[in-house]
Amino acid sequence: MGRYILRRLLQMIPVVIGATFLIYAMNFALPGDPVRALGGERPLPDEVQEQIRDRYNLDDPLLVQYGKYMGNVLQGDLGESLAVRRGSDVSDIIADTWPVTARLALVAFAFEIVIGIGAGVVAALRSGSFLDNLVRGSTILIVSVPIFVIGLVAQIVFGLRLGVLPVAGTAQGWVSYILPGFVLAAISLAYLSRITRNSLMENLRADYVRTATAKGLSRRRVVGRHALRNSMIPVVTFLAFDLGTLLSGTIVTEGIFNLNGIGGVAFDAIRQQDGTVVVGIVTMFVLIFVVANLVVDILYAVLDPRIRYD
Amino acid sequence: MSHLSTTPDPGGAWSLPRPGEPVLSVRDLHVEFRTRRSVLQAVRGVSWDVAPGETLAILGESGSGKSVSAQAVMGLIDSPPGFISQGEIHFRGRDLLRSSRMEQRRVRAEGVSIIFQDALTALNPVFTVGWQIAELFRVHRGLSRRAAYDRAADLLERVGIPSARQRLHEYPHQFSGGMRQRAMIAMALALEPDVLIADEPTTALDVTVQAQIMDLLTDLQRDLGMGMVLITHDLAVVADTADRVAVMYAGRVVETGPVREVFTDPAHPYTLGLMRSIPPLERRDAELDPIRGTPPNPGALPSGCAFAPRCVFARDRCRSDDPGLEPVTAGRASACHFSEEVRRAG
Repeated sequence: MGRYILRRLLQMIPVVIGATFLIYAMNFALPGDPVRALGGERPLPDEVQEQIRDRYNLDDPLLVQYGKYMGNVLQGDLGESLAVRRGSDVSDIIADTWPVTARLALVAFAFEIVIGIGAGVVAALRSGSFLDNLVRGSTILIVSVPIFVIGLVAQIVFGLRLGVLPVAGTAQGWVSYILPGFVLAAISLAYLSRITRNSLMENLRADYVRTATAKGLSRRRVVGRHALRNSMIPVVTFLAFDLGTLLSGTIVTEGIFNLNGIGGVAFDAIRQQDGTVVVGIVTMFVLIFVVANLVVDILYAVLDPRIRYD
Repeated sequence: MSHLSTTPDPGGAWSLPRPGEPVLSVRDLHVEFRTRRSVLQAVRGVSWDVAPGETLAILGESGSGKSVSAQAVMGLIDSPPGFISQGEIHFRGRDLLRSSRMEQRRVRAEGVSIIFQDALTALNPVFTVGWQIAELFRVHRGLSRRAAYDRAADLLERVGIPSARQRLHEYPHQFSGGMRQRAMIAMALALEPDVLIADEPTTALDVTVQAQIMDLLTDLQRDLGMGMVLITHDLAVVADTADRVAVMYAGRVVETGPVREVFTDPAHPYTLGLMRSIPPLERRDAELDPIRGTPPNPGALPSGCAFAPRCVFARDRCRSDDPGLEPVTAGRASACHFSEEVRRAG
């Protein structure tokens, strides 16, 4: 297992290089001139433009630029922002905004696990009942409604009418994350309860569950010990990938709740062609996803002894 | 292996019955599966019983309902869609269907146990074999982890698994097919049941392994003095191991009696057809004589006798009047209006 993890970690190197190069190349190929764009209505003097181009190696060919960039990255220098926050280090921007995104992600993740799996288990055990239909109906409703609608409704109901939770911002610490966390979790939570329900129902019909019943075990033990563990394999897959998505920030939810997270910065950077910021942030996203992938594969082996890596 | 000796467990919950008296009996059991459009009658008034030390074979083709009565005993009929609409299941004189849940669970744990056709799917893939056997001792006997694993190792040894102590910590997929079925048997016998139901125990196995498993089962049965209900479609297995046989067709027992008598002198046209479909050893090139037609759809049974459409003895009476199980000779019964004629023909 240790060797397997080491091999997977080594495999991350080419993945990260490939992904960053692609992003870098795409950014390079974008039409428009970021230096001229800096000037806006009033064009910058040619000497100034020249100076900026020189400073950021903008006249070098793509491969040379990328090589210089990666050389700096390896020394811990992700470069500095050209536009979004002119002059700040990209690493400072990430350090600034990512904790907000991470907190939001963790709250959303907790909602997913507790409500998503809980609702799925209840629906599976009471399949065909009112509760099952309630879960199935509400999941369809949630995935059919755009997230910004869910967000605005949540703000109006819980923030304004009931006044129990802050409407936006992060002034009240963790409490501020409850509403956006729930909204961010909503769609995944709906999928997750579906996955849990179907997986558990399938396993409840399995032969080994009949064996467990024939052993004279209580229903609680048959479901909780025997069926649930087997049902968790697709659930864990979904959760681990979803954690990767959550940690990459969300533009809409962050925007609605006025959270200064990484999703918003990434969006601004793309719009303003702030290449160093885009590449820096995307590289981090790639790392998050590659690690999430590895975690999924390791969890498979933990949950299902038939899967062994060596 | 004190817990697998022939002497009854002094702390056991059940008193030893008089020899010959059935320990488990199913009376007039009806099981139906209700779907939105139709009602399938899987079992239509089945009765059988088994005494300590005795082997009853329930013989039938797929869809004949041979497994359903056993599933009803073990509480394994998924409801919905399955319902036990009528009948009684007596274990040591008490009707299981009218007992409390706790009582039913207790009987399943210690009174009657079951092994299935495919031990690979019947064992939980994510727990070790040892864990799954030890679970019985921990839950029902309150043994410590260590003691439960010790008993589990003893059991694996008893069913002929080499280096049992190491294999305790392996998962079902690491066992071969035969070893898995042995582990399944060990689990079924862990709490010394009075009756073992074997639901096609050898169907999924290689022929050579089949014989070993059947030998193991008959050995253990003799040692433990338990009753065995052997559900199978294999005529040879029935002839080799069973004392009595109940032949099932379309959800009914159509003939029952001692195996030797039923097989040599069938009193039901279906049994006769089964016997005639066996290829004779001495003339291997002889043409087989199969039963014509196919079994009826359980959702649309013919009126009268369910076998009549395929029966060479059928008359008008058979198509209107459904025959009940009537005595043929002492200990034998057949559900045919013309059983005497069938016996003369055989």
